[in-house]
Amino acid sequence: MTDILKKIFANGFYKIHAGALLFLFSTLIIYFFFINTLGTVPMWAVTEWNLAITLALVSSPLVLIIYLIVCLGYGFKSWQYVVKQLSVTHNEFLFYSTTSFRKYIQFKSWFLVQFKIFLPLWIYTIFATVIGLIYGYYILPISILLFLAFLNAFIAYGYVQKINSLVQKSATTTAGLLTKKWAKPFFILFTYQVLDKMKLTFLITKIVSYLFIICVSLFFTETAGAFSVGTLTIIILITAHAIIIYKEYGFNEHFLYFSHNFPFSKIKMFLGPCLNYAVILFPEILWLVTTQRFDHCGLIILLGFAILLLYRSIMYAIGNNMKRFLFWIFLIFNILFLGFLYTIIWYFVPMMLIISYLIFSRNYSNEHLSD
Amino acid sequence: MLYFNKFIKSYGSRTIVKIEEMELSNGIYWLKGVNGSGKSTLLKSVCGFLHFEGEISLNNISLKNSGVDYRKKINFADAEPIYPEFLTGNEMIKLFLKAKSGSITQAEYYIQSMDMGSYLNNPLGTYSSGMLKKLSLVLAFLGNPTLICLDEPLITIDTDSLSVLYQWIKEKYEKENTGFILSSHQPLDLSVFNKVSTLSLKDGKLHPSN
Repeated sequence: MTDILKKIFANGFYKIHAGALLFLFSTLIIYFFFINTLGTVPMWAVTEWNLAITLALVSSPLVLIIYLIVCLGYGFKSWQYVVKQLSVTHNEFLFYSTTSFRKYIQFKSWFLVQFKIFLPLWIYTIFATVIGLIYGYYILPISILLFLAFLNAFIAYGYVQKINSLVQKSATTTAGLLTKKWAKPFFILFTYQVLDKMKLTFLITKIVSYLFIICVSLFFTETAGAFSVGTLTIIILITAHAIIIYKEYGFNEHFLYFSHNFPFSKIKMFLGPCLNYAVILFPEILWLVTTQRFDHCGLIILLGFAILLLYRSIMYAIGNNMKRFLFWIFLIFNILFLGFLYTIIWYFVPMMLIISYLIFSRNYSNEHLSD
Repeated sequence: MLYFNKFIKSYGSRTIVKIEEMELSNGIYWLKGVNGSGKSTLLKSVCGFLHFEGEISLNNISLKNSGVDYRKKINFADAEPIYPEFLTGNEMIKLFLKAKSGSITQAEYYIQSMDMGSYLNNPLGTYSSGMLKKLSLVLAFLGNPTLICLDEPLITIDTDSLSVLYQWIKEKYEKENTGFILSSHQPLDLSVFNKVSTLSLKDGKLHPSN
């Protein structure tokens, strides 16, 4: 049972969240350890600073609290994923198969599943604990370990309770109730899906997006309204929405698959989803409108939608493949950044629109779908 | 009339269906074939879901050259339909009525005869597979199609609904001259229809027989 559960939930969790995890654990943590600074920094200083960062976790209560909040957030996200997967039709067999095992066997299996999901946290926590113990910190390192073990066990217990309880299907959701009387045109459906099923992803994206906007406002106090600042911001903001674009493709090909039979022209299917993004990107558009000159604002939004359409089209060419999608996003982002540095980004706009339409047009009747 | 010319549907190097040239006149067709023979793939290619090599046209309207006009004339119901869970049945019907230029009166007739009125205001996430199947059949009959392709229409629905479905097919064919391709493992109740032609899909080849 443990192997099957690990395969479905732990492996699935890593597959779905590969992008976010890559960012969190590779970019952030490794960056702290292997950052190359401008000028020469003596080796002893690098070691000392990195050690200080790790030691802060096991010596400073404030850093510890931040880390525990991160653990809780990670735990919540994994809980949400597993519970969602449990309600998927092809996992329903687990309700009438795994539940025939004794509760403590079920708990053991789910504990190991959660342990695998928590693996990055376990590795980092154990590493920090060992460093802490070496330097004579005992209480906080042991507390972190105990907390993580408790969280792991608590979530595993929650899964056992969940899978052994009777399934109750709610007649509607809060978002469903609120938007019951609203019109639902075809090209806005993904926005409703975001409100209904992707609230947390949406919230995290918006936090990242607005954190960047706040940073821009703080660092470029004099030039926040400059055209170049707006241009760079939109490139980063659209890239921050890559996960939403990835999920939109999945939604379209799964839940809106029927629309391939609708008498809509390719150009309509290509440009129509911009309506969704006009709503989803409303807070960012609002920021642009309030900080940029009117004519500049129009150009920046056009650039934003050209990038967005290119990212969308890439999905049609590669299918539901996070690894390949990340590779392309990384590549395109760097090209766009170079374009920005050499002030040739505006030549990219018509190119991106044409290329993305050609990719979309060629791949719309998707080859990736077996049927 | 459905016309295939040098039609090849393959996944990678594996050919699923190959039809050199074939004309299917307007009528009711029962598409037979074992599991994995390519029935759904063929229907989805005909209905404009999947990419293929060659040409398919319906009453001289080419799928590849005039996709919009072609799709106005062809409807489809999936074997296991999946729709956004937050939408209600009524919202799905409205969406299809708009896309397929159907009328409310038309939808009401199908809803009433299939006795679906009581739950159409509920979100689709609460529907059983049978309820979703019935909804998908209603959606396939909306608008003014020349051809309706139903993938495994006999599965999941109850016997009462099955006889209603047979009645719809008969009426649509006799009154509006709408053609049908029905893929099914189970035998159709041929006594309801005056004439049903059979299409057998075997080893990637389509064999028509009367």
